[in-house]
Amino acid sequence: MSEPIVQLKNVTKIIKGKTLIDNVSLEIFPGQITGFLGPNGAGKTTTIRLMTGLMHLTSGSIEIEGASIADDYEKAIANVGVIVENPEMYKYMSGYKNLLHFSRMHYGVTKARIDDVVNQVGLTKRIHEKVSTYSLGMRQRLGLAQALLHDPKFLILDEPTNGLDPAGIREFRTYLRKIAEENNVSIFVSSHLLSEIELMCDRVVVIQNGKLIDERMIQGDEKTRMQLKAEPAEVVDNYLSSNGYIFTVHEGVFLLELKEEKVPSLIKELVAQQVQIFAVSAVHETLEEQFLQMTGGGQIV
Amino acid sequence: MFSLIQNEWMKLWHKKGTWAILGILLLVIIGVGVLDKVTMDDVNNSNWKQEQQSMINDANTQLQTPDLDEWSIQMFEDQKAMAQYRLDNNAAPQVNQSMQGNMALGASLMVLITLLTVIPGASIVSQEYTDGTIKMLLTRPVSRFKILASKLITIFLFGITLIIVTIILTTVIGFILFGTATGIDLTIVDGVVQQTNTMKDIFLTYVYSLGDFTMSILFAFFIGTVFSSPSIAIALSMLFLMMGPMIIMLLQKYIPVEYIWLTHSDLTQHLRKEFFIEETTLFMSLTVLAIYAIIFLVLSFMTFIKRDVKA
Repeated sequence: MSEPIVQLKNVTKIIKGKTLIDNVSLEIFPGQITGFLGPNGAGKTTTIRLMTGLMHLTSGSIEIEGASIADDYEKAIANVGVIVENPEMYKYMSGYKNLLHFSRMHYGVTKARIDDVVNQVGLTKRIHEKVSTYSLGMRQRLGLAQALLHDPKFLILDEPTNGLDPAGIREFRTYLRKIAEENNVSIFVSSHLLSEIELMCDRVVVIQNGKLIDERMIQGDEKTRMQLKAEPAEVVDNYLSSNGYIFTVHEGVFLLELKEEKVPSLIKELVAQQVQIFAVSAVHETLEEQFLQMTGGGQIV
Repeated sequence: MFSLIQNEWMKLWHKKGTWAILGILLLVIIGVGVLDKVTMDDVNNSNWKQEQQSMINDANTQLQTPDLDEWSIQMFEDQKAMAQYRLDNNAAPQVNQSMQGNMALGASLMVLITLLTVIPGASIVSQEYTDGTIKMLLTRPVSRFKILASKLITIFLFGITLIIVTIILTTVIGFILFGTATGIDLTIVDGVVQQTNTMKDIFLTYVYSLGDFTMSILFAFFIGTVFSSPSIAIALSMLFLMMGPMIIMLLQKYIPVEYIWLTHSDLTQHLRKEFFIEETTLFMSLTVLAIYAIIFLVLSFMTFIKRDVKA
């Protein structure tokens, strides 16, 4: 795997004697979308505030493209696009003036680039109207536009799909995947919508009580399990156990570990044994179930 | 840095409040001018020489009075000296309002200008916190020092703009409504009659008023930055600006008030030679103000740079 674009080393944040973030180390790689999950109050937003320099570290270090957030802030943040919680814009100005405002704080963002980004997020028609007249979805789009203005290599998004309608969320997801793949942008996204993280991300990091408790790739990491409904049960049972399959039976339904590509050959074998097959389907263990297992359920948003 | 100031300037003028502030100032300047014009009796001044002569005669008669107190003697002597000066130098008195008079009025509006500048001065930082826009502003490749400095400079530019508008407007309105002064004002300095340099007086009033102007803005900016609350900052700075002398009088008994900036911030004391507490030198006043200005600035910048943003 390539060099990490972002490196958190032993990051700790203590406020008034309370350890909010406890010795967190994490690497984020280019072109990868990393999901950031955790129950309420686990330290998601604090971590993001530390990564964006809004809060100062108690100990440890955060480096973005080799530049330290604490010692070389301007260089470190130059390649980062940020949306922290709701993108609060200057409501008394137009969307365009807001973007103009932020563009002046980066190097080399031209007027043409602003128009380009506005077009990408689909706000061209309303961009010259005051932000106070925008819907929540439009504000989210404007928030994304300001984060993308300077063509960042690393995007930090805190709850980016809040307030978007299902079509908007889908579009947003597709868009993120596109910039991750085409521009090799690395994306770090926190969300309380687990299913969304699952659809969007390559990798998930789970935080609880200020500590990272799990980290996993989404695709390929899950065990594939198949559900099989077939009769007579004894014949199936015999065949499966004599051929070394790992399985359980529950009310006449067999649950077995089996890769997808092996399904046709198994069916062929069973049919040859005069077994009647009623249904074969993949059992998809969702991220939500895994997440609940990891964090012990309960307090999930 | 220029683009940051440009940003702050743009945000400032997109707020309705800023236009209201400008509106209030314009209303006061125009209103006072018009009111002066309407209520003014146009005094015919063509026979001023006879009037001055009769003033001298009058004073002479009064001085004959037996047992006249010292103060009255001085008054009549001065009256005589001035009238004599006018006759000798053909210097007619100015009896009606003039452009110069209207401009002097403008200089006395510095307190209002200061009050009006304190409002955006107190909210330019704190409003970013209350609106939550601070996190969008700070996550940029620009140091927090520069961001705060651009805000402070913008507020001073705003205040200076108000001063310039006042100078221009009081001059133009004064000229249109009253015309330039035809007469000459006199003052007596150390027993010698002198012609008053009105323009110099106006200029000095503006310059000496910059003491209160600068200190009030720095104080409002400091409170607004440290407490992130525009209302506390506005209230406190207005209280100190309006009630400063009174607060000093009250504190006088308990603490050495000559080391409090409020005692010195009204530099026009040195112009009028009338002091709240006791006479001090301009140097002493400027030194105390400079020390407090540095304290306010250092505290503002330190809290802004060190603070964890949770908004």
